[in-house]
Amino acid sequence: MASILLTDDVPVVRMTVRRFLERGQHRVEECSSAAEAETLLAGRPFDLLVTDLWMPGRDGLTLIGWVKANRPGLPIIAITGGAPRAPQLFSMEEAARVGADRVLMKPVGMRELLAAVSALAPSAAKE
Amino acid sequence: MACAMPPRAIRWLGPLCAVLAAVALAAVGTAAFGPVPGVAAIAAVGFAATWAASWAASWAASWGTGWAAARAEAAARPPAGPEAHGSQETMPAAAAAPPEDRRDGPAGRDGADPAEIQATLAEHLAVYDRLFERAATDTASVTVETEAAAYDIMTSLREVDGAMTELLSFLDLSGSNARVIEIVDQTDQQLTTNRQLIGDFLVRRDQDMAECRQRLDELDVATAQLTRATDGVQSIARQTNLLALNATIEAARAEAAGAGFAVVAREVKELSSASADTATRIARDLASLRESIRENFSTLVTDRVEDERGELMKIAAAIASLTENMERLVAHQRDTLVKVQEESTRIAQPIVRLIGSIQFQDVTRQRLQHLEGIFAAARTHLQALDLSNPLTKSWPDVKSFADIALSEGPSPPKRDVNAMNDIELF
Repeated sequence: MASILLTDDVPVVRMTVRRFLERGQHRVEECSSAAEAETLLAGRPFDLLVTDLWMPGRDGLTLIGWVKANRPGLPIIAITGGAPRAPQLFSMEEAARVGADRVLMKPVGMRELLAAVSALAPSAAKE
Repeated sequence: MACAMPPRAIRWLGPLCAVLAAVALAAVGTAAFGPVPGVAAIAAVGFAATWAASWAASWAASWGTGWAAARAEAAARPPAGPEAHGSQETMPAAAAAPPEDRRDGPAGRDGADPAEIQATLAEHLAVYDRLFERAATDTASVTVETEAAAYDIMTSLREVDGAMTELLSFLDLSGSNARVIEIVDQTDQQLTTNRQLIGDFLVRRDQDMAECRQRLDELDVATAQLTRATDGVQSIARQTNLLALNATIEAARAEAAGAGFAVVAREVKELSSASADTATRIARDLASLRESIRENFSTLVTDRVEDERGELMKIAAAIASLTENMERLVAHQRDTLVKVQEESTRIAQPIVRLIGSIQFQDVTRQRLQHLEGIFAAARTHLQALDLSNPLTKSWPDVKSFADIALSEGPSPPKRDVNAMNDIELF
């Protein structure tokens, strides 16, 4: 069971991804912005971060950069459906460039999400 | 000339048509993406805009040819003065094209007034502005309504999925079987213990019976010995009676001297007779006692023990039957659990797929926002087209507008998302 922080500005996506992670018997804490995510990450340890890329305010790319600087070693799964000015493939490449360990396209499938979690946080996922 | 309208202003009507066509295509694409309420309305708006643009373009073409004919007629006359020269400066390059390039049609020969056409165009473009405004508002409403609906659906789905997960966890095959086997084992041990207790009880009862018979035999022997003792007493009484008889004879022979001895002899005779009677009664009572004990043992002990044994055997048979029924019940319960688990798993699969599919709302939202951007760009462009001032030389850049409208929108959803939502039992 891994402790996972989920960040996405869209409530329905948060609910969906959270449900998938809970089905994998992981503990999930969620927030809707990069600023909230940074506060939570500074407050207590997590095994994994799952974040959307394009959010109002500071975006997911900025959040990934913050994690790399302040929480090195924390695995990151980026999920993106692209944006009007940032097509999905471009978004995926950007996420990988700034340091996301896995980049998943929306809509996210439960199997691929849980497989990515198991691959990135194997010890926590088995507990 | 107040009605001089540069043909370049007409040319943007072509790209405008293309833009509107793109809007329509975007709307159709959004509609094709999924059953989103209100998207059909947006598609209808797009198609209506396209149709209106085609109509406007056709009108503009007729106006252009009419304007060219008017210019040819004016060119045949000498210049009237600086005012005419000024208007010539505003004449676009297309106006200088040779007559064969100006495709005269039926509309070109009717001599329509360019000022009137321009005013009409301005009026129609104002309608387009309101139409795009309405389309943008409706699109924003669709985004909000879709998000709210998706949230409600997702909330319900999450509750259903949570209950299903709990049920599946409860019905976990290995755990359920282990519990059932444990219950069966405990029950079987209890029933075996009960059968053992009954068997032990019966054995103890048999031992008690044998012991009781042995005591009875010992009692029989003792009473037989007592009976023989009474025989001895009777024999002694008979011999005493004979002695008393002899003593009586001897007392009679002694005459007066034996008178007292005769009294003693008579007393001894009476005593021996009484002893013989007592011994006889004792022997008779002992025989009666032996017979009574045998009869009572047979009725009170033997028969009752046999009845008790019969009842206990019935209890043992009932326990065996109970065990058998218990095993059948457990087997049936196990089959039921397996069936419920299979069905629950079968139901859980589409629920997970539904949860995954709800993400369409996010993709739809992005595509609708892209559409809203196009509407906003169209409105900005329309408002920049100041048709009320025919002398204007500043026209918005149609290329950048077309670039915005035709720019790449959000990527289409993955088609194989359902395949990635297959679940396994946890």
